[in-house]
Amino acid sequence: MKRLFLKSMILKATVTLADLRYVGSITIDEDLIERAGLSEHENVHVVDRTNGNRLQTYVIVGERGSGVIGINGAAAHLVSEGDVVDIMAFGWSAGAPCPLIVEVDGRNRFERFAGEV
Amino acid sequence: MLPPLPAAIVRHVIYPVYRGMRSDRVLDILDRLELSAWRSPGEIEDEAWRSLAQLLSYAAAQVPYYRDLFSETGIDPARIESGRDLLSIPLLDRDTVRRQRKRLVTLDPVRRGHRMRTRGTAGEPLDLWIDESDLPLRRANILRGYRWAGFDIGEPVAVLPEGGPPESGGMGRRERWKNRFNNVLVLPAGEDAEGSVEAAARAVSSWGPALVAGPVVALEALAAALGEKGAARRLGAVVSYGETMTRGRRETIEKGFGVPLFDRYQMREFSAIAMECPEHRGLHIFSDLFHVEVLRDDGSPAAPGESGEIVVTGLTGRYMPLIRYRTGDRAVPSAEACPCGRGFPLLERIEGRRAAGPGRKEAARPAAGAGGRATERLVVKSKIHKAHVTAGAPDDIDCLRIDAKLLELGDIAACERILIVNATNGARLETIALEAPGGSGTIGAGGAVAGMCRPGDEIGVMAFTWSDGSPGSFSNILVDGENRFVRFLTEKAGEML
Repeated sequence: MKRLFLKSMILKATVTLADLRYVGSITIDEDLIERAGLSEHENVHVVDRTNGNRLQTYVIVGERGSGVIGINGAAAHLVSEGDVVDIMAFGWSAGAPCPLIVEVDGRNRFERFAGEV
Repeated sequence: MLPPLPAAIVRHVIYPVYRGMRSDRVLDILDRLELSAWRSPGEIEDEAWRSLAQLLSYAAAQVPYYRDLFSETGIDPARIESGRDLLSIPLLDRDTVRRQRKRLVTLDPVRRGHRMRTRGTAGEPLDLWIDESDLPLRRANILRGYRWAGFDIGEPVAVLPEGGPPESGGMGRRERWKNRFNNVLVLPAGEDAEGSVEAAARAVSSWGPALVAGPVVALEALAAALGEKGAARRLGAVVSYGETMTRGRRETIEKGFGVPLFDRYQMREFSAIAMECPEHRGLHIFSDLFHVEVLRDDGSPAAPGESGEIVVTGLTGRYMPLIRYRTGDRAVPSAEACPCGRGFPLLERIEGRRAAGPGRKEAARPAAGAGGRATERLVVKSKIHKAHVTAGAPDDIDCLRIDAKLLELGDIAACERILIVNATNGARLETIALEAPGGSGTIGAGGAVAGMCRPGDEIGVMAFTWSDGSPGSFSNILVDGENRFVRFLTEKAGEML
């Protein structure tokens, strides 16, 4: 049986930009995308620690090393610049869960992988 | 725009003279290739094995990478006599080609190479050498495919350029004259050029090509732009390549152009590898030029009807032989014999292509790590941008009724689960898509959806699919205030519409 497991997570990232006029989805620093094992266009859940809102969207690649976490388009109604968010992706797997959980600093730079949950 | 030259003059005078000037024997090669397709499957297979055996012994003797690989792994190329034996040769991936590029080149001083760069689908193009002697062969092979589609040398052909930067800084004056005399029209393209799709549609209608060739997505947009105008009377076929062909895309293209579509599978590394014949039972592998395997994840051959990765060996290349090259694309092999009589084996369909084009891009491979292993992930495959709700029907079932034309272009099926994001009020919800009449511009909120999406609201519609991490396609479309298709989008970070 396959279960839906947590696959990737970026913990306590700070939203650097939230703009209704921008196209799309969530822009994430390419470095964080790679470290968390995400891929372009992958479905992610964004949960806003600041205001409690939750939404799902998909990933677009942001400039590597820029620390960008950009909420674009309609989602900007729910998440504002400066909010602290967790970003999660799930995957079907028959094996044991082995999520990549990435911790970042206040400027969204990679700090470390979190231990097992 | 000057009208095309008479086909007979190009076919019998200009083209032979031009090829004669280049003394590349394309027409002789074409003649040989044409006949080769009509041999029996047995003959074709025997011939392919002979070519493969020659290639393997050549590589073992002349190419440092294979010389070392074969001796380290104890492979004796002379003893590779069946598909099963071939499985012992390790697969070659793009990273290895990149790292071992110099050692993959022959030591044989007689061979001449031609430098070639693959389109950088994941941001990293691959530099390759192909044999200079393979250039006319590639040309002839493309012509062979065109002839399968009922097109003959000299007839006017319109070509949509592939996306991405041009290889040699655009088309020069000489190139334009060459095309003019060979009855080739290069259509305006490029997603940034405003109105280029309309310009291409006008050119197709007025110039009157016998064949239009281009990347799937560009053809799809062109088909939509042709609309009621339709293509010129002379048009006989459309040849597509690049992105994955889906039933919806095929219908859009065939309906827009009003002629049959012939899909071709190709990549820079090898040129055209497989193509449909007039029976459209799948794609015939050009197995006089390529040995194609379809492999399961564990490396064993996929059975007919089963999906696997396409692995290609180019039988003619010697300068930089690519043996068992992993394409990253997926296909389903077929055991059927095609009623057309061609002896080339069939691929039932190509499932996923790595190719990039407007509106789709290879999904970046995740870093090797736990997050990417043996897991199916959810990725976006469809999006309609900036649609406007036209009606609310609280008594209808819970759904979003969408203009059938947009469903087709966005690759969304009726009853498919969709995510709606409301840019006017911030609401986000999941429901199903249902079909509204094509061309009506309808975006109707049904049932409880009508409570969260009011007429006039601007919304986005997304649909997702499960992916094993291999790149899929993303149909990402922009519509205007009346919910009519404008163009395909490639989203970049920080882009505004």
